[in-house]
Amino acid sequence: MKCWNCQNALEEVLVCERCGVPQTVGFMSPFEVLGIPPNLSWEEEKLRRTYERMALRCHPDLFRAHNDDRVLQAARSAMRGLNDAYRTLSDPVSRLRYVLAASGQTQEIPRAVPEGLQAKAQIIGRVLEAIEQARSEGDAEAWEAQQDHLASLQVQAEKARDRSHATLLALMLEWDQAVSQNDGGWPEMPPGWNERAMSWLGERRYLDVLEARMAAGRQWPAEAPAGEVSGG
Amino acid sequence: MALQMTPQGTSGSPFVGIDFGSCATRVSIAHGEGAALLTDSTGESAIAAPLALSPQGGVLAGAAARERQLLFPEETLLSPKSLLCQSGEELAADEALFPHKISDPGAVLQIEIGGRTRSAVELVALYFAELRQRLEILRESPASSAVVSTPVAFSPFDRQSLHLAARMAGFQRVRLIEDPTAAALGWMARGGRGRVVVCCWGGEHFSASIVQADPEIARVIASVGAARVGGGQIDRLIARDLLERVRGALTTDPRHEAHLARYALVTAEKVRRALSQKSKTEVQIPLAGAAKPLKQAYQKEHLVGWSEAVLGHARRLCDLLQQKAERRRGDYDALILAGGLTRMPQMREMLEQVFGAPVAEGIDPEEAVARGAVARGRYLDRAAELPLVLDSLPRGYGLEGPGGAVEAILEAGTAVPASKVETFTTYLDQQTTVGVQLFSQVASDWRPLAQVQLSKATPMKAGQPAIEVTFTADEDGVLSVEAAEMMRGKQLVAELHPLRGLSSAQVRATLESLDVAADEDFPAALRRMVKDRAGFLLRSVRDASRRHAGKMTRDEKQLFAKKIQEMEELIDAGEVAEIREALQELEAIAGPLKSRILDAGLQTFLR
Ligand SMILES: [Zn+2]
Repeated sequence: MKCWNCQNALEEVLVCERCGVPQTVGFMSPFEVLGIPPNLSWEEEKLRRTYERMALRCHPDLFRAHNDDRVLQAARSAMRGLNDAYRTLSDPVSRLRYVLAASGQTQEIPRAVPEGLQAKAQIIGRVLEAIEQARSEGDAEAWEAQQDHLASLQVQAEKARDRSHATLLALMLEWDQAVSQNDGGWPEMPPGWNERAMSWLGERRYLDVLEARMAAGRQWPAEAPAGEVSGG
Repeated sequence: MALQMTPQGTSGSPFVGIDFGSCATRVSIAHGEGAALLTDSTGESAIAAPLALSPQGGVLAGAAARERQLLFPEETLLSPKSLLCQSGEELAADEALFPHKISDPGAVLQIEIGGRTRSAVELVALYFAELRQRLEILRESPASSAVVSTPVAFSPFDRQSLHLAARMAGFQRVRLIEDPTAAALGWMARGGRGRVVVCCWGGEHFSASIVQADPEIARVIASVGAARVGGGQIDRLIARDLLERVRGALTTDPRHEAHLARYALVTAEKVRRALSQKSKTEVQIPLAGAAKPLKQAYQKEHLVGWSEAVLGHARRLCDLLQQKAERRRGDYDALILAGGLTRMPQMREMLEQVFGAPVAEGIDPEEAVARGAVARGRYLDRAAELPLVLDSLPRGYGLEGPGGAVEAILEAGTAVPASKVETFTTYLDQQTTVGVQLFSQVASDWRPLAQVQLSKATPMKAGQPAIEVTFTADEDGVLSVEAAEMMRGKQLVAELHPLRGLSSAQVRATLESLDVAADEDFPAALRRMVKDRAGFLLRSVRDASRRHAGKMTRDEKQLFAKKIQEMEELIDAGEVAEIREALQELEAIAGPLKSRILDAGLQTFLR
């Protein structure tokens, strides 16, 4: 790739290291955009600093004074690419999703109940349904009667989330080892890793939905919406 | 590292900052290390919001328009800004308080004013054009670049309208800044750093953000905002109360409803301001056919009552803000307050209590946004060392999925500029158009925002085409859309049709019409501008002094004759600066006469 402005052979993706002019970003992996290896474990702070260092070189506000529409458009494209890349990579779950998608895993995330909650799935369903019914009917007594059950479910959901977190760390570590064995390049998927990662995503979705329903179930009476009106 | 740039385009003038308000606008100009504010004909830095349009084609903005509003309420728009973010329905519900005929309450609001139908964008553009003229005459140099403030509540399409209005007014480079970001930037320009919560509370809007200001980068972490949560909302309540009392005291229906309503609104604002400072106040409203005016006393408790709904709404928005940012009371290094309503003790106490942070000192709440806007301007001109501000989307955007549920494409807090690609297909054989509903997230609800219309797809079997649609939010938070067929790379026609605002085609057409407008040589344009203004004032002063000779003293008559003659001589041969000064002088001496004429005129309407 050559710089559109000075024809320098580019080493960096977003900004020409010779003339300082931002570059239009085409189809590129978010890891390439940020100039980092495709690892799954990243320290949040380190990633943010990498992002901010790049932003300080390609944000369109830095190029307004030049009054050159081509430079401004290139800066917009570069900054958009940088923001989109950082958005994908700043969160470990979205990072994992990206790695799976980029490795050709495009099937639906499977339905999965996390270990430890499998035997209780039916009870959980009944308690939540009872609470939701009580809330919708305004039956405070029935709602109150379920709160103890809800509290004990809460403890179990938290344990399941801890286990789920440990599984994620193990998955990330396994992937990162494959990356480093491939000298920082995109690796072959470790055996069985994709199935485990997909099923982890399924469990995580179950936990997210469960926690949202439990959080709603603890509220009484239903709180009025915050009313951020007008302005669409 | 030195930038080796391509040859530069025409160099723009330095950015000015415009704090575009519902009650008043402030324009700031970079001046040395700091900023100077443009003044209205009253000498105040608050340029009054009203815009007056006469059927003869005259356009007045600021104090000159405000003076006329009681006499010509139908020709005087109280606040051009409020047209951009309110629906025709909302405005129509204000009844006599909004005395303009709404000729189209649809996506692009049109009202009848000054004998013509005009769109909301056109009216805002007229107001901005007036500000721009004043800047150019004052500085005798082109004003072609502006940073314009926007409330957080403005949707991407309201922002588009605002941007376009500034372009139509002749600003070629326009950058928007959210009110709270501007106030935070003003604070940063004075060395402020840390995590700060900023609340801007003015005539119609409440906007608040949490900003993390580090030495090199400042990030807008979360923001919230809503319209009709400001002083104007309180004023309308007070005005309604006054109007009811007037109707109760009158034996017949008021003849000039619009005049009475505007009088009540102006009086209401006085009541609100008085009761913010002291415990009671008394106002008078002249009554038609009655010997004595209606006298009405109000106490502080009245104001507390009228403010309750607005206060509660703002309080819920503050809670929502902290929830969005995952922050709580006490998490902040400072609280920045901007906007007139934050001066009300009741409002200020609530904000201090909710956020538990010390109020940043040395910030003039009325000027904070204007000063911050010009600080961004100085940054854009590479004339100031400031942190780079990374703006983010105040709310999320989503598309209706297959099951009818809305799925987020860009979430609240996403740093801009940003884009998201979504793939669409067809449901029918040979289908060449696809329509999708775009939603915006309001608290936890999804509300329809615009229709995305794709057309000119290659006819194929149902489900075969893969159309990639790219949604882009630019650094000002304005949305646009592009579409292409994945297999062939063929570009499709992609249009956005917002429920309120201009469609992509309307925006394009307007911008194209601006580009063909010929560039006039600046000195010639400036001369023409000053001469036109001087001519306009000369005609009205000459006319007034002839028709109202009876209201003038002998000395006044002599002074007028002298000044009129001076102006007549200057207008053809004088320097721009000379004409400008003569203009100001003439305006100043005409002021007292004008108010006498207006008072007399008003009595005939109200009595
Ligand atoms: Zn280069």
